[in-house]
Amino acid sequence: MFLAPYIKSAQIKLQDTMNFRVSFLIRLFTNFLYSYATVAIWYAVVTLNANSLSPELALKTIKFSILSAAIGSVVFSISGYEIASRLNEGTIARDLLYPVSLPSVLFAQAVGNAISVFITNMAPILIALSLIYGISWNPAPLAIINLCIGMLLGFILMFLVNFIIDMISFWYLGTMYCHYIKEAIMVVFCGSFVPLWFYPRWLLNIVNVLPFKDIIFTPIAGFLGERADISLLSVYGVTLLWLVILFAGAYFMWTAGVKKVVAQGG
Amino acid sequence: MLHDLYCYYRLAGASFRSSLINRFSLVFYIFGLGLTYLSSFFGIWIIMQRFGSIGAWTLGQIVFIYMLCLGTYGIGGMIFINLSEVGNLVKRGELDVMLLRPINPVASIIGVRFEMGGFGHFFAAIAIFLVFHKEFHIDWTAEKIVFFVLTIFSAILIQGAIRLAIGACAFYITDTGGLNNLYNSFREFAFYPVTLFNGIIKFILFAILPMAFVSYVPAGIFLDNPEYAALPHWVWKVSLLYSVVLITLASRFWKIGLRHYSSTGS
Repeated sequence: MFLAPYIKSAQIKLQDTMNFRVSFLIRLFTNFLYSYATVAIWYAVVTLNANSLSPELALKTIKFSILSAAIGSVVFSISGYEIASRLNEGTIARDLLYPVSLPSVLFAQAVGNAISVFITNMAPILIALSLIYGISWNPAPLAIINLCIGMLLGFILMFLVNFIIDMISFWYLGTMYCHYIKEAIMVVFCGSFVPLWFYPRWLLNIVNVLPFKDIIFTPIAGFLGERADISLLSVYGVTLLWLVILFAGAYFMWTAGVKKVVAQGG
Repeated sequence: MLHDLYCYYRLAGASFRSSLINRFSLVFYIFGLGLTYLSSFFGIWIIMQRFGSIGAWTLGQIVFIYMLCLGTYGIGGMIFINLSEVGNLVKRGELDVMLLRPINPVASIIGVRFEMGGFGHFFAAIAIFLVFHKEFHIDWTAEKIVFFVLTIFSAILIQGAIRLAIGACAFYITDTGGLNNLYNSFREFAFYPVTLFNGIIKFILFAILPMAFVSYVPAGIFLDNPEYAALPHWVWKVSLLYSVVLITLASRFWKIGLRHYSSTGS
């Protein structure tokens, strides 16, 4: 079966990450603290500025910050150093000889890792923060479907962005710095910390022409009914278009990059 | 003491010079790190633009606390970052080599790695200061300038003391990765006025990992916020001495731990 090696790669990655339980517990606790810090800030902002916010918007903002922290723990767990580390260690030569596509294996591994992070990080963070802040979720089935589709597309989008930056290492090995710049861009343009409904108009105009908002903001806004006036197809149609563009870019970079690989024979 | 400082100076100087070998990467690294923090700060700026204040906290006051935490973390990181590696040094048996040298082991450990990334935090803090200094509404008298310099020293010492205490834990539990992650997580809270958080977080930030004394507490010397009026002004000034108490306690803990240390034999 064509997909069998990729499904196996995802399974191995999942088992691999689940094996180290102590490190998982530590990661869970530190991830929880990071998430809690963000939600606590928003809780303080909306409760101390209750006069300038409607109760609905205040609640929606708290819900957004909880979901953003939980989903972010999955989406931002995608490794961006897979190609770079293989090039550094020289193992890329061996990986290219295997009868499976390395980018597909990396994607399968990212999926395996995301499932483990979903189980051990996202779900506990979501439950714990909802209990702490007394948030009840009564989502409509359509809203859940909306969130799942949005999260899936956001995940693929994030994988492609990371993969493209990772592939810069074919030409320049210091991609760590490119990831720092990517993170800075993400914080401003993906709307994970500050919901886009608080952005000034001029900044929103810039955010709207970039794909990063579809990684975190668009799925959550859809779930919370923020984009109820727009059809799902028109929201995710733009995301799909960005996926096609990024996929094409990744394909061309990969094709050009593998031609640059020189095995050092170490 | 002077001999230890001289040894540190020579070791750190060598580390500094070795970092300058690849200057392009270095500039990119510092720029990328600085940009990441500036983008996080940008989120706070958007919140403050939208709401004007968080309770009694104005934009300038929150920015001052953020800047203080960021800048001193950068300088503290440049000097003390390798203390987070003590656990790994113990695990690999490399601490034994350092203990054999005729140098204070702490000077030896922190001297081998001068973290250039700290410049990223430091320059970001300077940029924030230059842009927002008028919002602080601080009358920069000679006394305030002296206390500002003392505040920076105090904040660096506190962060050094926390790192030293965590490093000393390696003599008992070997792996301090989790404790380092915990410290980094709680650092997130110190970027904001700690009174915005609930009682448990406040207790931890004042008593367990005293990050409140890095930014929130010394800010009372400079900021005109009703919260600081609850105690006489001299209290905030005297609080700077807490850093001396902490570094003394951490040094004592380190020495006790070192006596307890037995090589892992790796």
